[in-house]
Amino acid sequence: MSTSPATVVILGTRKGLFFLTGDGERSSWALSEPHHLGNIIQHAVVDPRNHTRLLAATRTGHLGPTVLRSDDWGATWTEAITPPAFRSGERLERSLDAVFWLTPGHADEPGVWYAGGTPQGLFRSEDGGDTWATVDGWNDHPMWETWAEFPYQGTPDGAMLHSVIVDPRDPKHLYIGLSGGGVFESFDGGADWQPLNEGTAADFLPDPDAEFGHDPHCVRLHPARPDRLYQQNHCGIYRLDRPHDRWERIGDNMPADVGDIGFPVELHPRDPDTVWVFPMDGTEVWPRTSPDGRPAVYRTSDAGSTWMRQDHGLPERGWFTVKRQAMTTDMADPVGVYFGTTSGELWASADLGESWRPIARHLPEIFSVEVAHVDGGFGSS
Amino acid sequence: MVRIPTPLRSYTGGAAVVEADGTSLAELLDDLDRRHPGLRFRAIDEQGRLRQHMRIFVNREIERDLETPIGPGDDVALMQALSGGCDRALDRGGEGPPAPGAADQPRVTVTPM
Repeated sequence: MSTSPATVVILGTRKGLFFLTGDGERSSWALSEPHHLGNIIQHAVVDPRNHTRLLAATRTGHLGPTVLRSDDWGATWTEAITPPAFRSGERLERSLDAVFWLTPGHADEPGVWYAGGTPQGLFRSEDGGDTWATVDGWNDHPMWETWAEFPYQGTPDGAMLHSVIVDPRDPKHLYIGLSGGGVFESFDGGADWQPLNEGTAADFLPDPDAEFGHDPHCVRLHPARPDRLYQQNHCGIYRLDRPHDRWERIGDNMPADVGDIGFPVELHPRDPDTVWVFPMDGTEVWPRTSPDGRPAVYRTSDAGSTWMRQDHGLPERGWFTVKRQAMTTDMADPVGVYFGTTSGELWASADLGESWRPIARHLPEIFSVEVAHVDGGFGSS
Repeated sequence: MVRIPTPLRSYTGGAAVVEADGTSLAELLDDLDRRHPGLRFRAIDEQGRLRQHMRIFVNREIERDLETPIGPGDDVALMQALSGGCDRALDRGGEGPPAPGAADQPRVTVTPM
């Protein structure tokens, strides 16, 4: 077994979870057998505080949602004793349809995880994902019924709470994204929240200066510059540099014939100015495929002032979608970039997006793509 | 005795039929969860409602009210409802009982045990 760090891509798909293991050079890849075949794996995330721990948000077409944990790279799995759920008997009679998003907590809180759901609930575990409780400050916030989509859910796949972000400097400073609803921020560990949407467009709302109701698709905070956030929104690409609270539409600098609509926005792990997006067609009836069916990643290396098309190796024509959790970057040098498609292909670049090749095909619809580097080789702990 | 559909048998060690006690469906499900932790929440949501694609049959009659009384001799089956994909088994005379409730649930077929 190789002793160099293996690069492991964790794929959450409509039909199960897969590991794709690369060698140290990221040149050859091996696909695992499916784990939990037939189960919907919405999001599978490795714990950065414990690289052998993996949590997966799952459900099936029939069964309710739950969270699975593995501490041995999928050799064994343990289901949450108390999965995320709304409080029984509550006034709104909410029922969690899906765990949509998982986020590990702060480095100083090694057992803490957050989960975002459909409907748009927020849940927290303090024991590594075994038991979950509602974050009452959000779920019972006096404005929740106004901010969240409930009971009517206008978002096509159901309203979801995503992009749970923990400030690496302060475990009580949190951000969340609601599709639809907007970005919200808490400074007290989730006890209270306020909207953070100034500057973002909401072309589907009559009020151009609406305080909430927006549709962030994916929000990322840069770990090397925690005052910087990027957002791929239903209506544009944005950057926010705190302490300012007005988002700047950096997507206006994208080519006009491509536009700045999409789902994911992914970060260079060390350079806060470098970001990747995967534009999609948001015209007319919103096909959500690449503009003109010509798949391309776009990268900025100057925080959004200019964008570079990166399509070398990608098919000339293609009609897939890349979902908000289905793109990521690794920690290697040069940085690797990965995206999974709704048509079950996993594309990778080992050179900052300059060139692409498929490293897995014929998979189920890909919902999430995450990467970990495993010392001592994949499978050892 | 309660019949368990395939998606929930990971909770029962693979058993298709398990024991559980109770004087109502709700009590039966609570006891089922005590014996097989985690099973109930996958079929019944946190507000005590049967999940959208699950069905319970008592003596082959569909039952949605979890407060329904049950007795020692009642045949209780927890089943998954499908909108497609399982009726081929019925077409070829699949194992288990005929599709209970199918007549009054024309758009839903029921997985044979």
